[in-house]
Amino acid sequence: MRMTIDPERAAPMLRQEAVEMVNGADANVTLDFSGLRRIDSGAVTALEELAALAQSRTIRITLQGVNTDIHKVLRLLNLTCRFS
Amino acid sequence: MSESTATLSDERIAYLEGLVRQGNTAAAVFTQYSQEDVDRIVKAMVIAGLEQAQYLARLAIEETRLGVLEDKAIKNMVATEFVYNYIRHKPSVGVIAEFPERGLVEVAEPIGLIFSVTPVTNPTATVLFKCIMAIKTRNAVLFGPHPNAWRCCREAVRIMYEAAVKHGAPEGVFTCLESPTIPDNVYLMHHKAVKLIDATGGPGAVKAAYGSGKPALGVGPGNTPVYLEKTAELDMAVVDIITSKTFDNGTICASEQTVVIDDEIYDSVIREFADLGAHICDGRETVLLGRSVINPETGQMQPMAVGQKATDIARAIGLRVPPETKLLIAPIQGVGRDHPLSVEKLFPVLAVYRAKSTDEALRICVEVNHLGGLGHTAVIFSRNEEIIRQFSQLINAGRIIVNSPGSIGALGGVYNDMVPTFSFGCGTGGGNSTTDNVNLYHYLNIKRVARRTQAHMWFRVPNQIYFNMNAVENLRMLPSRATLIVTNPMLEQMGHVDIVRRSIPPQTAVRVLAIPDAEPEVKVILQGVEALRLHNADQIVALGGGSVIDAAKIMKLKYESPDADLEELAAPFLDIRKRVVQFPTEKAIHTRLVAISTTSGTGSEVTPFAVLIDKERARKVTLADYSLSPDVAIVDPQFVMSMPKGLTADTGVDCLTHALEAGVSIHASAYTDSNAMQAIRMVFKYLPQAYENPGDEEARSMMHNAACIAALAFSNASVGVCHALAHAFGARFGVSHGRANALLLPHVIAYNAAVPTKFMPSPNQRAYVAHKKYAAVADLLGLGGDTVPEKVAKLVSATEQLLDRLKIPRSIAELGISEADFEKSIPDLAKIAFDDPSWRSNPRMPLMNELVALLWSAYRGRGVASQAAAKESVCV
Repeated sequence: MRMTIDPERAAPMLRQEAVEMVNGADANVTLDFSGLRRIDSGAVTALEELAALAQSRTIRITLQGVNTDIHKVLRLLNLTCRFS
Repeated sequence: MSESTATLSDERIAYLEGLVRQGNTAAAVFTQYSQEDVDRIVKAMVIAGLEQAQYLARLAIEETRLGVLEDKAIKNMVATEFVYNYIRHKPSVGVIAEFPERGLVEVAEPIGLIFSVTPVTNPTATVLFKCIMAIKTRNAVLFGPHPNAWRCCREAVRIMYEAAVKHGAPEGVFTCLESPTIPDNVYLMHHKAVKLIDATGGPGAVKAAYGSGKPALGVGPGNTPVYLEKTAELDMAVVDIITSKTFDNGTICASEQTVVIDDEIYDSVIREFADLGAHICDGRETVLLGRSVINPETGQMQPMAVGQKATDIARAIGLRVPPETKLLIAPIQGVGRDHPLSVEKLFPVLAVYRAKSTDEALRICVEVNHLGGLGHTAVIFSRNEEIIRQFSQLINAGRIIVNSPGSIGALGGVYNDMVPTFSFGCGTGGGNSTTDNVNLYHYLNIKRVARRTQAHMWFRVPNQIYFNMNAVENLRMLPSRATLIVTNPMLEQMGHVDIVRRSIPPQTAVRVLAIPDAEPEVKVILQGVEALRLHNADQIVALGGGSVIDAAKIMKLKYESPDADLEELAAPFLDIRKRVVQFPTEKAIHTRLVAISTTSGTGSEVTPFAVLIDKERARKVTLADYSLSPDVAIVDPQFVMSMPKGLTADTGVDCLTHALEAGVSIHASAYTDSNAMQAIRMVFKYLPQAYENPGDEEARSMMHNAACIAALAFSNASVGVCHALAHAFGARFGVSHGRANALLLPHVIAYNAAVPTKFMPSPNQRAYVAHKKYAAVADLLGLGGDTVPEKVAKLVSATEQLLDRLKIPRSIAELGISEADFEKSIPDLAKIAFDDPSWRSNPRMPLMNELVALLWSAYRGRGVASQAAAKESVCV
């Protein structure tokens, strides 16, 4: 299952649609970040929650198209290891 | 959990963790921001702070009951406007400085989440200042305000936060503890997400910050001495001191505490203070004041006085003063626990001391400085630059304020050009990590991007080189009033000196100094210098081998620069560009040195080296500097036609070693390579001829030129490990330099051509090419071979064949040195060779055990070529 993150509403998408996708998934989920130049605090928090949800459901989330700036943010928060 | 945090409830910990999480996320998100982003946000925050300056001052006064409303408003404005003025054009994101000439770039990296402790005395100004610094540097801050000032701080944080987020800052970038406690601070100071503690406040907070084991900026209390010196502009000084000490009721820790006044001006200064609204305490009042505002048990100020008006303090302790009193001045007779008012007093009470002399004044200031004020701030009013300098050297303070108010002066940007701050670093004297006015650069990790530098290269040779038969006649073109010919007795007997004399213009007064044909001693050098002085020489003609020419080089040095210390000039160095001891450049006399070589090996006629013997210490001293290079070199083969065969062989191999080592040196360049290669070609072709047919004028001439050309190469590229080992071995066993080189050379070629155990750490070595350069030599000599290893093996073989043809012993054992004696010497030889500067340019960094192995290879001798070939066949 795959979802492209809209840069204009990254945080709400991660909080709602992505959560629904993970809840309904029985296989791995891919989130496409290639449209995002930056990530904000709300989206980061939503990602943390999503990672916890995926872990509880033993679903693997793959982040695709993450640019180097966003990767650094995720790395600083020790989030990279929670996603593929 | 530590004892201090054991009292925290689960709810409180959850609260603290929530603040940390917000700040940590914001800090990570903030790393994506550009310089334009942060500058836009900072400007909005500054404006918001300025607009709310008075409001925040009022809140601070209401909550803390310390200080003066108007002054606190001014502080809030300084913390915003003045700080902004300092940082507005300073880059703080990405590349912040570039030094292209040094190949250095500085790149800013944010710190992350900062836990910031703020004081009760300057609560809102400190918050405003730190918020602006944090945004400018893309950091998040969790504020831990003083428990008695947390509401006004929370409001200051809110104002900053709302302005920042409105203009794009990450959510959660500032948070502030509500109802803070010491256990909160301890918990946060030890939290792994907190990357830096910035503690501005009392000694407890600062100590806790440093004690946490985290990186910390802890800046604490002071005790500012003021020297009011007799040359000072007194009216200005008195106004400045009153302005400063009463500013916000003396709550700034940089404010004046004890004013030391010169005896000559004491009475008029005190009168001036009184005229401008200070109350001068008498003896009884001083005792009362000291007992009341300073805790007699701890020696520290009583909280009831901090930040209060002078009149309120007076009233509280039963002191009658006029209602307009701004300041209470208490004369003291000393400094220390017996003089309670000599400590820090963050309220408008000022101690004064009458000094009978400058020395006494300075001593008292030092005493005050050491009574809790180390590293903080000191003030001097004087027009005597020497006394200002003396004061600056004696006092340990991060800020020494001259002819201006201490408190506002130390803040920076108002009375001087110091960096505006609300956090004074006190250096190690105050147990702090910096003496700076804390500023944006303390909120950054500054990364240095260092590009590889290319050491400057050169090709330095004598101005004039005359060569070929009868080149000595060029002496006629060198005008001289008085010339000293330095030579040896043998050459004099052979008539060589007469040939030289005939070539010197007849009007030149010529004298001859014959010195022993051996490496020169200091006494020989001094004899030469004396002869030069007596003859008042303006030219030296050195006629001889390396020893004579080296002697003449050193004579010239001592003649031109009599104070030159040969011992010091021989100090070792790793890189000639960075050597500790420099050769003299200012000379009493200028003399021309003409070098005429009578051997074909050392090339001393063009080199910047000279060796002398220190007989007292039984050692050789090598001097190296381009100022030693002769001015003129004459390479005239007529002086080598009669060289004995053995000398021809040994010096010829020395020349070959120079060329081969310069060729693979890490300092080799296209300039030196061209000379090295040409010299190698000439040696292989002409050395056997010169050896076998000593009368062969062409061969002699070519070998004489080859020696000079090889020397041009190694004068600029240096030599290598063969020379280092040859120096050690030759000196130990009395073997001539050329022969020692010959015994080692094939082994060193094979060694350098193999993959190094250790590469030489040098920016000049851009790739390991020694083996390829040896292969290029093999090609030049037409030795054949298809691969690099094959060609290297053929070069080693050709070198061995050359040595065979020159009838040079091919092993150290053949010299009659017993294996037992040699084995005994090995440890010393390896150590001495390792200390020899010659190998510093070798392409392969020799390890001790490799030096030992090379020495043993040379002891056992021949077979290097066959070993190299065998290795090649295995590889194939």
